Amino acid sequence: MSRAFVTRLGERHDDDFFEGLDTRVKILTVFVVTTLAIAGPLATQLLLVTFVLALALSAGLWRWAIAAVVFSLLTWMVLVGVATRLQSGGVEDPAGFLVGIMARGNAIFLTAAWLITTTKLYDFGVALESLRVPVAMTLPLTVAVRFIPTLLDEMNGIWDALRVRGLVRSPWDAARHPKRVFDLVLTPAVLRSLRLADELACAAETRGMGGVLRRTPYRPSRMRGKDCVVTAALFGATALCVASAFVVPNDVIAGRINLVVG
Amino acid sequence: MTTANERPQSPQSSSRFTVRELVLIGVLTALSVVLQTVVAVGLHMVPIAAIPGLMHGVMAFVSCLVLYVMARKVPRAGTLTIGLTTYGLAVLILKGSVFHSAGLVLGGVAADVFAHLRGGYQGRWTIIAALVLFRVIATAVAQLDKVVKQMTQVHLVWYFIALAILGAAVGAVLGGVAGRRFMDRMERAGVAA
Repeated sequence: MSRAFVTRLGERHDDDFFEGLDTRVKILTVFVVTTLAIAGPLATQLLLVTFVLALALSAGLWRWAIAAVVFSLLTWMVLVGVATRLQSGGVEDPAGFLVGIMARGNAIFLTAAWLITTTKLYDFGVALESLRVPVAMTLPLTVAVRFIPTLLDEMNGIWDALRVRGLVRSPWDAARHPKRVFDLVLTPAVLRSLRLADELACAAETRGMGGVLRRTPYRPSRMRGKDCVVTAALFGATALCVASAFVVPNDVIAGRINLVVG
Repeated sequence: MTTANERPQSPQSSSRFTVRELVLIGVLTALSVVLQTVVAVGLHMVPIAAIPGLMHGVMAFVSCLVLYVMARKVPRAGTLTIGLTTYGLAVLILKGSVFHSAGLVLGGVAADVFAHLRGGYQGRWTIIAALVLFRVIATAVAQLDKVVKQMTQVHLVWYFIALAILGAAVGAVLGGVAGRRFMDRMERAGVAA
């Protein structure tokens, strides 16, 4: 799955409505979704999941969407099981907990996956530079965000190599010898990362990063009509959500905001 | 005479991070995120993840091992602050956890200040002590999430928090020592000088 994801990173679909948005609008989308998912009312969170699923499907991330739903379901089962075993009361509201973990967790994760998938490293750097973020922050952040899927792919490669050489035959084998597996995975992972960092630093220096002159972007960040519409919609949704907490004093509609404000 | 295209700051000085160092910090931060994700997913699938404090200990071990390599490769004041702020932003984007992110940033700043007061990242035990300080602060602040919001709606048990902090401290010590051995081995082999 991660290999398909890395392949998808190399593609550019500017004709897609959501993918063609300005990177700054995409970053704003992530922050609005995160804020509303944490502090927004339950009804908003359900709407958010619908919106985020639309984003994920438009970017072809349906496998990740299914994986996220299955993983959150498993996490819910484990946590509820543990809480019931450890405490007599168990989880206070298992159904609410399930909705919360599905809505909140998946909304945030899938929006982040959408941002990473549909944004090129170069565009991300240009957008952050245009927001006047210092290079000491933009460079590590862009590298880290971009390299998370690449390193996941590297880990897959290391795991395949261990299996081919017969060092690890199954996950159960790995569970029985955690130290050996950790050594065998960690050493190539760190060395590969150091080499990747060297290659990337050479490429960055060749492209003039860290120099005295300000770089001129080939594809500058600019707001178009649809960017303005999406930005207005995001601010409108946030304002509506906050206003609903004060106008409608209902636990279901405005529970989370009341909890945070109160 | 300066042009409109010129950056306002002076040319790179020795106190400023080079591109190579910033890229290395970014890549090692990504490695830390990936290793922790892989280990967390693996531990969630087996019942031992439910033992209080163990998860925090293992996460601390993994992250501190990579952070030790980062501190040794880029021994400058501000390395952990930049790396952990990056990590915090990545956590905020990927998980939306405000307290976790804040804990990482505060822990990184505290570790850097501690290392600066102890004369920088030259001493190996200084790095390990700075990592323990970082991990304890990060875990303590992250636990505020449960205290303030109780998002998981599981009844708050104070000794779970104490065990989480203790587990993180122990994991950080072990991770730092493991990182030290790893770097020593790599330097002896001449592959990570």
